[in-house]
Amino acid sequence: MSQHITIDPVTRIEGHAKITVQLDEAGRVEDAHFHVTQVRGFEKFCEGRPFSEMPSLMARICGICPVSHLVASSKACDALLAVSIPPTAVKLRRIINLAQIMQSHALSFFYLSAPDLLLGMDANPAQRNIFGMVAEHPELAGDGIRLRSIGQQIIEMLGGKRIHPAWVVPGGVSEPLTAEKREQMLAMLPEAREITLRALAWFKRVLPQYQEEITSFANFPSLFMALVNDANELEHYDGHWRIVTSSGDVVAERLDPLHYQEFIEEKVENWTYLKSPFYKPSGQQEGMYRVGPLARLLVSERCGTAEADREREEFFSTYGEARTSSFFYHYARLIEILYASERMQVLLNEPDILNPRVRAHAEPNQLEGIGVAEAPRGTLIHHYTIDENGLMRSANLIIATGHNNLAMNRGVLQVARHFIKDAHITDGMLNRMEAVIRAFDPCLSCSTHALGEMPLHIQVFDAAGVLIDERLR
Amino acid sequence: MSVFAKGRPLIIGIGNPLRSDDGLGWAVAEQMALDCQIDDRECDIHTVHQLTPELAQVIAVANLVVLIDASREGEPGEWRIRPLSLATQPGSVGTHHTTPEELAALTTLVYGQCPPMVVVSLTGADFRLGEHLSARVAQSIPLVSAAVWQCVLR
Repeated sequence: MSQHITIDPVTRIEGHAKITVQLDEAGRVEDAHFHVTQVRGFEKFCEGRPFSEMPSLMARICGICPVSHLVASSKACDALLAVSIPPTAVKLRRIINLAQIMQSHALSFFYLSAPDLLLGMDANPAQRNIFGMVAEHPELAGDGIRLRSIGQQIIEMLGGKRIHPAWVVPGGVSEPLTAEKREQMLAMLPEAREITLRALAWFKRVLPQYQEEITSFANFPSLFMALVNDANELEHYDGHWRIVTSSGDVVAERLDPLHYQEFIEEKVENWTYLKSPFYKPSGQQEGMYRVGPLARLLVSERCGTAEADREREEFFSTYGEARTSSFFYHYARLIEILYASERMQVLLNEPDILNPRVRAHAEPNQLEGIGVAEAPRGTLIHHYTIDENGLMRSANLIIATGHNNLAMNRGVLQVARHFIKDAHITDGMLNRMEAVIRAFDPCLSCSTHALGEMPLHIQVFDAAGVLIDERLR
Repeated sequence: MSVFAKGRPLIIGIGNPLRSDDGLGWAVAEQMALDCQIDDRECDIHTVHQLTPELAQVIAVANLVVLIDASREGEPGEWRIRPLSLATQPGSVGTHHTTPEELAALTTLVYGQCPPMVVVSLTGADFRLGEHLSARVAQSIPLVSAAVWQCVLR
């Protein structure tokens, strides 16, 4: 008798989704899917709006990573204006993007995933949360709160507010940086580095306990894609795409993100609202790629800052070929926070960082514009077309989580096959099903909120669709 | 950007100012910020869309915390002051939903202390999309601000 397991909703992720597992008559996993069950419609309802509204509108896609949308959208609008924005504005945009990466990664690691890592995948779900973490390791919890707060404070100092700042605008940024704010930001960065190094030390100590998860959490060959700069170092704002295989072979490099439609195909499935992009030249099966912090580390040849490069080197030398397991997204997130703190320090010390010329003014000069940047979860693409009056004709967005969709689905299947040996369901098994998704830190559009607690709901159906087992927690 | 000094009262206005009366917590907080400028009163004032774990670090250094939020319960314009029981057992803290009790418990656990906390709620009449408070709620803002000042200056 075949059976069907549903995990709905998936908890401790940004947004709403469910997982279904199809068992065969022998109780073995036949198939598994990660379904995104919410539709937002941002690409549609912005049609007809003035293009200049797009950064503010698009920032509303997400309450966790609004800055990423603000940056990609403003870059698309820069292209519509056909302007080259002032160099100081580029540096300031880079800083706010890095602060965003810091606070978002801190949220993912400390608030959402650390309870699993600290208390174990089989711990009581009632304790596997930030309170359980505080009881076990209060310093780590305090560090998480402080690190996220530093990222948010930098965003607030630059953008005027923590959530949905409107400071990044078409043509640059709306206000220059003051010396006072620069000093305040510089004063916080050493603490951010110390916290990150402590978290890295702790994480490296506990990692050996997770050999089974390293082996089974979306650990399969795939492509990896990210922006890099001309020296093939980490790049979060400009640069070109590079694509490598799990063994590090370069499949493509110096790809111009403005020509993304030539090499990315967006597949649509009837069981999820999330698109499934793949690398077109390799086809859907072979063209599955991963983006985000782990992909960025694997695609680049170095980070480009001293401490982050030391940690990257240690990670690669310790884990060798296993480094492509998606469980290591957590590790990569910490290394990238370290990089962000180092890089922000460099940028804030640039001699022209207080230059008051931070915005280029123009009317639209092109009817099509594409903006690409690296968001915390990976490459983000905003593609707009407008009419002669500057009103939006169309918008196409490819969000980082979408790029990872094929890999997340394959990861769910891998975990299900590894841990489900019969139709028997345990909390630990269910949590691992969610945890593999959590490793990717998917952002399923956070502004669609749920009220109250989000229970985990699992149902097992027989082949006739009759409910034979059910769990709620 | 707020600068938080040790041992000062902390006012947190909660809500979404794009949802009409849901923004009343912000309106009270903004009124109080104005009062501070006029009367040179010492107080830290914050406006947030929702309570998040990061607030624990600023709560821990305050001597009193007043949370101001909109409510759907009761008659529009009706307001209540509720001292928070710090003995409440916490549930799980989320990134999208943290209760005052959970935040107080988190503050105590992480920082070893939590000041007295008070929740001031004012019943809204209209929570539809909009940037303005309903007339009934707007009338109550000075009254609620004055009541919060009484708590703070007591």
